[in-house]
Amino acid sequence: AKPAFSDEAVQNLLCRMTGLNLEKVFKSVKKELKPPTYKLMTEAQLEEATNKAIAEAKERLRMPPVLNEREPIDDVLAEDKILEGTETAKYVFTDLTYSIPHRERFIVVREPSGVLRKATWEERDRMIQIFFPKEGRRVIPPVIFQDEHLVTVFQQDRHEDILNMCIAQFEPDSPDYIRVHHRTYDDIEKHAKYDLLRSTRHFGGMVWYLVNRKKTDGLLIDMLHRDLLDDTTSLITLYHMLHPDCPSAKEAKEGNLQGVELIKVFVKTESQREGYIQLALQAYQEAMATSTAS
Amino acid sequence: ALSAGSRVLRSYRGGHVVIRFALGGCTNRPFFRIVAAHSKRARDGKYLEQLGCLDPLPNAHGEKVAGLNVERLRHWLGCGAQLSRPAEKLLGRCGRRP
Repeated sequence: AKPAFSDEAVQNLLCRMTGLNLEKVFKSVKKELKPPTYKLMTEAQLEEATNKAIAEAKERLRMPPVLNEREPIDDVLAEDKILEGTETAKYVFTDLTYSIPHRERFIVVREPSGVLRKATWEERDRMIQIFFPKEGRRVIPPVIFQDEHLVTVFQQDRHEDILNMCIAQFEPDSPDYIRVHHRTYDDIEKHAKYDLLRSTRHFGGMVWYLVNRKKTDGLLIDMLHRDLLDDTTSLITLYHMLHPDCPSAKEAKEGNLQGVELIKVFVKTESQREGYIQLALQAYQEAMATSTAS
Repeated sequence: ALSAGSRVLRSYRGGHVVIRFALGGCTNRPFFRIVAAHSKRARDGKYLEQLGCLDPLPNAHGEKVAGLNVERLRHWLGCGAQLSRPAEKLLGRCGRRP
């Protein structure tokens, strides 16, 4: 069966590809200005502190879930013709019981025509934000998530910030969340700005999107330029896991290839920009040769 | 300690628990709180528990927003609370009472 985003093997591969750049993960966020604190530590204490920092960085790099788009709700509970002319506006009723999860709350709408129906997903999100406000979320989604303004954001290279805002504002299965994420990934792929997301929690989602749509060439070239052979092998293994019917997957399984051989087979069969990748591979191999020689 | 003029504890003769609307808000801007209180208390005075709210003016999307804490409402109705006429109408509109 087709592996899902949340499978352990897939998550391991994506974690390894994301890398662990401690400087970038713990980059200072704009807060109140404080003078920096200095601590005097022995080697052992420094090691312990770095281990704790790595554990916290792994926690911060946990990937947000990738789900399919949710079905629109369209359920009529009752139709009362008696109420037809009595009101002018719709009434939205929210169940305020504290101990129910937000997914199971009853939110119903009584239209002026007397129809009692369940609220749509947008109405649900708005009402839940009004009565149980969450930090970082607005009642009406900000204008920045519309397509014209996303273009401006991408020109300023602030993909990571807008993805964080998107996670705070929308549910993972809402169409807006999916649309913003796809737009961001497309733009990154068009301009080859993969390094912007490299040590963030959005890298896994981007790789999943690209592999599903077979647009992995730019990413391969970028990895080869930065001499990350392990990442290229994990990317190709993920590709084979998701598309087991392609010719390179079958060849790889038969020959049980590793490393550079795997990349060569993949490049011959799957990619559109063969020339570029061959060049990058050659450059990488020359760099490896000179570094081992010297 | 309670002084002679303090009105903290009131004891009524008769009276029952009602679930009714308490009016709040400003001039030309009403806002109702759905409240369980003694029938002899002032309309906006001390209540037993707030069970929800209703905004009678439609918002930017043309909706009148209302919230109801259904679990506590059931508790008070089970304790034998009465409903005021507007409260009955509201509960009828949301489909919880005939």
